[in-house]
This record gives sequence, C-alpha cells and structure tokens, in this order.
Amino acid sequence: MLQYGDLEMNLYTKIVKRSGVEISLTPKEFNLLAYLMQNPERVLSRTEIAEKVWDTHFDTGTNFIDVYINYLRKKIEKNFDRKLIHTKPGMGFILKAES
Amino acid sequence: MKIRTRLTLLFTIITATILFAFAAVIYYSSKESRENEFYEKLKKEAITKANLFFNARVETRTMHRIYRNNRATLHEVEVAIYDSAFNLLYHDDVNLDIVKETPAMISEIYRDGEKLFYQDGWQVAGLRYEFENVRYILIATAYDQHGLSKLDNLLKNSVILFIIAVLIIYVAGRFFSKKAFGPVAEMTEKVHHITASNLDMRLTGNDSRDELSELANTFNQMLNRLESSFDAQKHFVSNISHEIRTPLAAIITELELSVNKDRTVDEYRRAIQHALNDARKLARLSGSLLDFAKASYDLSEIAFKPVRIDEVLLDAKLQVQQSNAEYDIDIHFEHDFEDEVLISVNGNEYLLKVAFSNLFENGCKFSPDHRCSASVSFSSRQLIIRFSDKGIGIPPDDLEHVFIPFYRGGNKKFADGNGIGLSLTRKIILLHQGDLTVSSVPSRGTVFTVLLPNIASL
Repeated sequence: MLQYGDLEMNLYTKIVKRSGVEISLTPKEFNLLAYLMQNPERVLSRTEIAEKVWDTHFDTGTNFIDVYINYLRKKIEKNFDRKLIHTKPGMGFILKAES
Repeated sequence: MKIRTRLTLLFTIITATILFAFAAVIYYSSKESRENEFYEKLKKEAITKANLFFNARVETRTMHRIYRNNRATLHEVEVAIYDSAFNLLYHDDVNLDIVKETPAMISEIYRDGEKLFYQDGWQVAGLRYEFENVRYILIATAYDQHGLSKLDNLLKNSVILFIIAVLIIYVAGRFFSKKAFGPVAEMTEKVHHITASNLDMRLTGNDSRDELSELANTFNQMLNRLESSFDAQKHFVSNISHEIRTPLAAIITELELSVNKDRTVDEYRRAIQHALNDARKLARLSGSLLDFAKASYDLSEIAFKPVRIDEVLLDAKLQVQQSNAEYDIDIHFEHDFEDEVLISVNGNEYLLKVAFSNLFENGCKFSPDHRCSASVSFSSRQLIIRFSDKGIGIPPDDLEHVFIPFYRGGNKKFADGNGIGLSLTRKIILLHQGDLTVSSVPSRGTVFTVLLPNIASL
C-alpha cells in the first residue's frame, strides 16, 4: 500500500485512488506511478525512470517518458485542482503536493 | 441438352415458322385470286353466249357445234339460259348437264342477281341477264383445270421447298453453332488437362477480343494467379526445409566433432555455445512460423481487443533489447495525446508486438550502429508509426520483393535471417486493416511506415 497526499495505491489489487475515486491505469502507467510514489518529493531523472520502470536505457532522442508522464499527469490530475507531478526542466520529474 | 443443339433447334423452328407463314399466305392468296378470276371468266362467257343467243340470234345448232368443237380442245364453259319461270331456253349440252338446276336455285339467282358456288368441284356462276326488259337467268359452269393444276403445283413446290429449306437451315445452324462453340469445346478439353502438375499450360485465345477470347484470357489470368501461388507454396516448403536443415546440420557437425576425441574444456564450451546458437536460431524460426500460421488465420479466429500502441511498442522494444543488448531503439511521440482513443487500436497485442519487434530488429540488424527509431504520430482516424534506421538500405530491385516469404535480397550477406519477418509483419498489419509500406535509399537508411486505423474509426 502506497500513499501520498490524497493519492493511494494498492500494489496487490493494482487499484489507484485519488480522494477515494478510482483511476484506471495501464500496467506501464501503474509502474511509473508506483516508482514516483516510492520516491516522493525527489527529482527523478529520465535515465533513472527509464532504467527502473522500463528496464531500459534512456536515449536523448526519445520522448516517450515525457509523453507517459504527461499522460499520467492528465489522468491523475483531471478534476483536481492540486497538481502532483511536476516537470523540472533539464532534470526530470518530481511527485510533490504543491509548494 | 447442349446449348449448341438447343440453339440450332430454336433457330430452325423460328425460321421454319416464318417460312411456313410466308408460304401459306402466298398459297391462300393465289387460291383466292384463281377462284375470283375464274368466276369472272364464267360470267363473261355466260354473257357472251347470251348475247349470241339473244342479240345475234345465232341458231342453237350452230352454238352447240361451237360448244362441242371447243370442248374437244379446251375446257369450254357450259352455259344454260332460263327464263324467270324456270323454262329452259338454251343449254349447251342437256345430256351432260353438270349443274342440276332447281326452281329454288333459279329464283334465288333471280332475287339476288348473282350466285357463285361449287358443284362437284366445278365452279358455277349464276346471274341475272336483261334483254329487252325481260329478265333471264344464265348459268355457266366449268372446271378450272389450268388454274387448279397451277395451284396444285404451287402447293407441291412450296411443300418441297419448305422441307428442303428447313433441312438446309438445320444443317447450316448445326454447322455454324459448332463453329461458334468450337473454341468452348476446345477450352473445355484443354482445361480438363490442366492439373497442379502442369499449371503452366495456357488456353489459346485469339486477338479478336470477342467474348470467347475474353473468357480464355480471364482463365489464363486465373491460371497465372494460381500458378504463382502454387509456386510460392512450393518455395515456402522447400525454403522451410532448407532453413531447418542448415542449423541442424551445423549442430550435428559441431557435436560430432566434439565427441570424436577428448577436447579441452574451452573447446567443449565453444562447441556448446555454437550448438546453442544454432538451436536458438531453430527456436526462432519455429516461433516465426508459428506466428506466421497464426497471422494467416481467418480474422474471426484471432482475438481482437483495444490495445494501446505505445505500450505494445515499448514491450516490443524491451523484447528486442532483451535478446540483443547492443541494439539501440528510440521511441518518439510526435505529439502529446490527450485521449487514449487516439493511440489505441482494435487488435491482437501478441501479433502487433511480433510485427513491431520484427521492424525494430530489422532496423537494428541492418545498421552498422544497431540503432533504429520509431516515431508515432496520429490523426483523428489513424496512427502512423515510422520505423527508420540509418542502415545499409535496401537495393531498389529488392524493394518490391521484401514482403514475399523467404525472400532474401542482396542484403542477406550482411546479416542472417530466415526471410519470414517482413512478410509476417505485413500480414499482421493487413490483418489489422492497416498498411505497411517501405522506402529506402541504399547506404542511407530505410523507413517502414505502418498505418493503423485507431479504435474510434472502426
């Protein structure tokens, strides 16, 4: 069971909820979010994400991590005011409950 | 019944009917006009004799003599003259008296002015005649030997001509229909002889562009297609056998050499490594064949469900990189996607992964730097995925053949493979109602473009 703010994740039932509302994710999105929630409030580089989440190495020509993050962001921040995933330009991404 | 016989009979019956109607009309009208003409002749003769009798007052005896003289040479008209009270005033030949006149007949003629009828085949014309205000009845009769025999002739000739004409038409009909259907019979005969073993036989058409040569050409085109697909199948089987035999032979040789005599551990290790590589190659081949068989199934036998293309691409990338760690694969999205629908297709995840893996593998395999990239873009209806590499490219001559099973072009020296990958990939993409095209510049690189309809457009 992982929890960050109003976001909660059950690693066994693979259910993700925000404020009690269930969010449906694909397995890859789930893995990505799980990695972010396991390392909250830490800037995670694209290389780290690529290696830990997808077991692959990151190439500069690739933007699929950005695309995934964007898409995941849309799914979990839709209908909510508070942003959770932030982009740190040139560094990576961070899961943080707004500053 | 054969069309040929049917056509001949139909043709003959129609022509015979027309001919018969034609002949019947001619005969009937000739008969009518002969009859009328003869009645006219009878009337004239009767009036002439009456004039002789009344006007010229020729003696009865003289008239009888004329009558008898004429009778000897030609069919003379026999005339009788009565007054209104049925008293015989004159008769050409009372003894002969062909017309048996009765008072009723006379009074009828007197009343109507004229009566035309037949008696025992003889034509009789009775008419009213007026001389010095006294009415007389003239009766003329004769047998129209000449006219009737002419008519009889006409009938006989017509019947004979009719029969001959029908026979000629029938024979001609058979001849022409045989001629017309000759090519069909020839074709049937020839097609009978075409079997799987001599598919190279062709029908002979002519250049007249008629229906039959068109049919022959259509048959030939069908045979062309059949032959090429038969050839492809033959090749397929021999190719598979070859593909399986080569690594098997290598394994056998390798193992034979290692059991021949004692070797060092290093040599054993190398031998085992080689055998392992060949065994893997075999496993890959059988895997590809299995996939090929799956993709060749009927659409209805493959489970289709909504599939996220980005995930399949990532899976394919991981799969390829697992077995080839040195391969470098980029996946690039041209634009962000808002809606899952834009990047999802209705498809079979396993088959799509096979297809994408093949394209990744090909791109890396045929590039000295082992790099390839996939860029994903989409419109409202379809996804476009470009798999590009900066590899050795494909020679233009090979470009149109790359999707043929087991075809291996001039690039086969560069990297090994079994020639199934691309044909399998194309089959899978077509199965998803998409399209796979290729463009390539030798020594510059190759781009495979996959078009897939997204889930919303189906």
